[in-house]
Amino acid sequence: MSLRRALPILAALSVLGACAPARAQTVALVGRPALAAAAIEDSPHCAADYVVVTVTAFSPAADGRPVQLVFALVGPRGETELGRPSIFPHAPFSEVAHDPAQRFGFRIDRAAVGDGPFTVRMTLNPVSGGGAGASASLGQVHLKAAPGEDC
Amino acid sequence: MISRRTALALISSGGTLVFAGVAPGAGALAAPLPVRKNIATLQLDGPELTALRDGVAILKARTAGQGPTWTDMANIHGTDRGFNKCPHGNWYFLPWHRAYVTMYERMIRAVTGYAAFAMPYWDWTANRTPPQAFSDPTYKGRPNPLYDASRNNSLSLPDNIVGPAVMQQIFGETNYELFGTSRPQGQNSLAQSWITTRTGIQGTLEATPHNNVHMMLGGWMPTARSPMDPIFQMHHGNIDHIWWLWNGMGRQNTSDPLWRDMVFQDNYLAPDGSWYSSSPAAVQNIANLGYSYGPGPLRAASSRLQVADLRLQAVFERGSASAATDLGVRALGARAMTGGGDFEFAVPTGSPTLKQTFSALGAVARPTAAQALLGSRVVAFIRGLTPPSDDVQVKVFVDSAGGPEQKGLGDAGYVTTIGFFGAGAHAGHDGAGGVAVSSDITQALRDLQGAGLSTGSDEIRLRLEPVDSKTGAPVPQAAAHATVEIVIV
Repeated sequence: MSLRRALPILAALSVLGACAPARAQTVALVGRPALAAAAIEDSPHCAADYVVVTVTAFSPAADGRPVQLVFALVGPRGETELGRPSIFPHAPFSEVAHDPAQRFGFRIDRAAVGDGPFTVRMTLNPVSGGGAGASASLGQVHLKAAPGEDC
Repeated sequence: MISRRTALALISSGGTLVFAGVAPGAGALAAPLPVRKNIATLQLDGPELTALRDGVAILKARTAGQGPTWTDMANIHGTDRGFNKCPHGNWYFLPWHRAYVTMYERMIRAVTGYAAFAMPYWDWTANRTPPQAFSDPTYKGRPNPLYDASRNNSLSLPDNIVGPAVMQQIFGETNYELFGTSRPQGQNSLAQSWITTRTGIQGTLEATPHNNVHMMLGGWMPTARSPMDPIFQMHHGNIDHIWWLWNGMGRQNTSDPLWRDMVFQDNYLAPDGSWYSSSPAAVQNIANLGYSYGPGPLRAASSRLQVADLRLQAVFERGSASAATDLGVRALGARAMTGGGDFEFAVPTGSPTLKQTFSALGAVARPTAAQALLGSRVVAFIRGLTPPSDDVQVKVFVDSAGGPEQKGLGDAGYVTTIGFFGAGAHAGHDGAGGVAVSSDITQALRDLQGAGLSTGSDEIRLRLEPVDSKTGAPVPQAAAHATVEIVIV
């Protein structure tokens, strides 16, 4: 990663982080998860069972060691881990720098997790090292029907 | 010489054919195409790994003007500036990389002259550390071209990335776009720009094992230039194998023309340096690409069956069923009962738990109940077969308690007919323990119960009938030293 490319992303993440206290924390650092309320798009015929999370920016740890994103769905019946994706390539990106957001999809058992409301929590998990300098921004979260599936 | 382990694998593969009702002879077991194999099953000095090392060394040593170089090939995927032609985060991820791995396979065949070369794959669920062929810095005292010092060669991948639960989730998905990542947002044409538009929703396969294995290996692998590390091909070979298994379970790829008809225009290098194209439609049948993974997997409707496959795989990897009890495998020894021309084995099933288990197996109308109770498959491991020649077949039956012997191939208790390929020459009376065979007896147990023929409340009986395939005459010596173990996975 070139410094020229990294600086605007870090600046964008800093701005987002500075704005965060006024509402839900959307920028995750190691030890400080990000949260986003899930928009639920149930239809009259079926309960949405597909969670789509959007990561709008990412910056790897300063030492380059790997960092994982751990997503959990928090609802009235407790917490369910959704999955542990990582960003590939392990390089910075940001919507602010006109990079596309990365989206991850997870099936859930709606009967088990209930009707909501739901929050998705994104935690940064350093696979090795301390993860200092790593950050990720959590964008929109939706519960909806899976692509191509109509109830 | 065929090792015992190889013979086990061969015959087990044959068994998979037999499950479908085919009695394999030597011809039926012969693969018409080079078979890509799990690298853990390959010898370091065997032909596949020798060709791989040689091919990579030749390609890395090439300079401009000598044909496609290692760097030329990696640059197709990505450069210092980021991704180049490869799709990630969209639904072309699987087909594009299938063609990409095939490009390397063809290149290695060309530069080594070993036309039967098939790219191995690294099954990271079964083997969590980088393959030895890649992690050893040297081979026979010389630098190993597959080794990369910047890679984390002591990595051990955790369950939450590549373990059975993650794989169950992956194989349990029935929708291609959830399995293999979804279409880019708003795609409305077959314009080339959609290939690299990364706005699809990554499914678990891409997001979790794919991305994390890249990331955790370090070195080149977390970067867009990851193919600079030859372990890239082992990793994506496994992703490709998983896709093939998923299709083999009856899962369908999307038929959307926006996926099927996209052309990866001039994305791949031929050995002569020319560019060629591919497409999702062109790569769906891997036989058309010049390789196979051997006999197709059992088609199954339930993700639980895939868990059973993984458990069964663990039994093979660990060498015995008793070594896989931590995964929920249950092993039941059988005692030999018999005389005459056949060999019968009684397996005790009298405990309340096992009674419930086998009773549930017969509840075809409520398969989920059966699966919840015991997993989903009952497999007989038959060891110590000593066929004097490949002309011998061993028919396997499950007999009903107190009922007539199951003799015909159409009878409810018929399980399989075991054929042998090279076994007579190598697995006979040399003290190596004979040939080992696995046969899935689940359907036979169900069929017996469906036909109103009880398998008994306290035991099930498995019978072997070794015969000469040409004359039908009994060949008792083929099963004289056989033992049976029933494994529930």
